[in-house]
Amino acid sequence: MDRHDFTRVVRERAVPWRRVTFLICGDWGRAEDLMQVVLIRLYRQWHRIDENGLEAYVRRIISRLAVDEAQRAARRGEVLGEVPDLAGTGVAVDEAVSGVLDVRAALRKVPPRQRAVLVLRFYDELTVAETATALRISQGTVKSQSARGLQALQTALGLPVEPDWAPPARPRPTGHTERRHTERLRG
Amino acid sequence: MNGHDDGPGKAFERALAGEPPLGLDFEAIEQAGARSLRRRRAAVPALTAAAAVVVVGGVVALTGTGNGDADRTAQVAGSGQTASTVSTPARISTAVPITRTAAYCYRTADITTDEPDQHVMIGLAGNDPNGRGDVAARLLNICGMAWRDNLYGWQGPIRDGETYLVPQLVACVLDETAAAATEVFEGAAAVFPGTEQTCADMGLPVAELGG
Repeated sequence: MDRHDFTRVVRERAVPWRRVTFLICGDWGRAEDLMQVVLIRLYRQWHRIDENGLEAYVRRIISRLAVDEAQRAARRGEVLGEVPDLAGTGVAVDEAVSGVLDVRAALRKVPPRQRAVLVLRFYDELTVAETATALRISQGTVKSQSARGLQALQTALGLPVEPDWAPPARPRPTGHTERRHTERLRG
Repeated sequence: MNGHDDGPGKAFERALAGEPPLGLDFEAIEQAGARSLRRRRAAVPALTAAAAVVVVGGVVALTGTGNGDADRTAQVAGSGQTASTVSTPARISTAVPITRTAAYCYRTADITTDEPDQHVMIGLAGNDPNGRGDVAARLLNICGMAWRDNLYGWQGPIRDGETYLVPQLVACVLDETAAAATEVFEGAAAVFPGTEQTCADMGLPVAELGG
C-alpha cells in the first residue's frame, strides 16, 4: 500500500482497532498506548501489506500485544481502567454505569488468552480459522479456549452456564472478513 | 433479561460504553514510523560493516598480526573509563513534571544531541477531559515497550517479533537547557536508561511519577 495513504487509512480504522485492543487489555489508556506501538509497526510494514490483508495483519499485532499487556497487568495484580472513565462526571453511579462495570469486571476474570479468543470470535466476528491465524494457535485451541472463555464469562456475569449462549456462527463464504473490511476502507 | 444474556457480543458492546475520544496523534505516529524505518535501513549496512570488522579482527587474531593496534585500542578505552569514574556524583533532586501533554523516551542519557531517534516524543494527552490516568507511570511503560520491542533500533537492527531485555529506566524532568538544545518541552518527563544518579549527572531532577 502507498505510504501516502497511511494516515488517512489508520485514522479511519483507529476507533474499531482501539475497541478490540481495549476489550482484550481492559484499559482505554493502555489500549491507546498499544495502538501507538501497533501503528508504528504497521507503518514499517505498510509497503508490503495488501489492502485485503490489512485487517488480518493489524488483528495479529493487536492480539499479541494486548494479550501480552493483559498478562503482564494480571501478573502485577493491577486493577485497570475504571477511574478515568468515571471520574469527574458528578453523577451517581446508576444502574447503567454499574452494568458496564459489571461487564468489565467479568471480562477481567476471563484469562487474557481466552478473552482474546472471545473478542475476536464474538465481537469482531472472525471465523475460527481467522481467529486461529490472528492468535497463531490451532483451530482446535480456538474452539477449546472459546468454550472455556464463554463458561468463565457467564460465571463471572452471574449467568447460568449454557453451552449455546453464544450465537451459532453465521455461514459465510471464505474471504468474507477481508471483503467486509475492504468495504469499510472504501467507506 | 439483564442485558448480559443476549450473548457475548452484546456483553462486549456494553463494556465499550463510555468510550473516550481518540487521542492518537497520527502525524506524530507517522513521523515516528518514518524515523524507525530510516534507522532500520541505516542499520543494515552498519551491521554488514560490523560483521566485516569481526571477520577481519578474527583473521588478525588468528594470524598474530596487528597486536599493537589492538592493545592501543584497549588502553584508550580503559583510560576513558578511568576518567569518568573519578568525577564526584551530582546531587539527586526530585521534581514533578509540569507538562503533562508531552513526554519523551531517550535512547541514551544525553539531552544535548538531536541525532535521529535520540529521543522520541510520546503523546499522552488524549482528548478526554479527565485525562488518561497516571500518565507518568504509563510513560515508563511505553518507553519500556519501545526498548523491549526495539521500536526505534536502540537495541540494534530492528527485527519484527523479537523482544529484548529492557535496561533499567529512570524518569527525569527536562529543564530549560534540554529544551533549548533540542526543542523538547521544558518541564516534561523523559525516560532514560539509567538510575536516579543518571538524572543528577545530567543536571536534571528525578521525576516524581505519582505527581
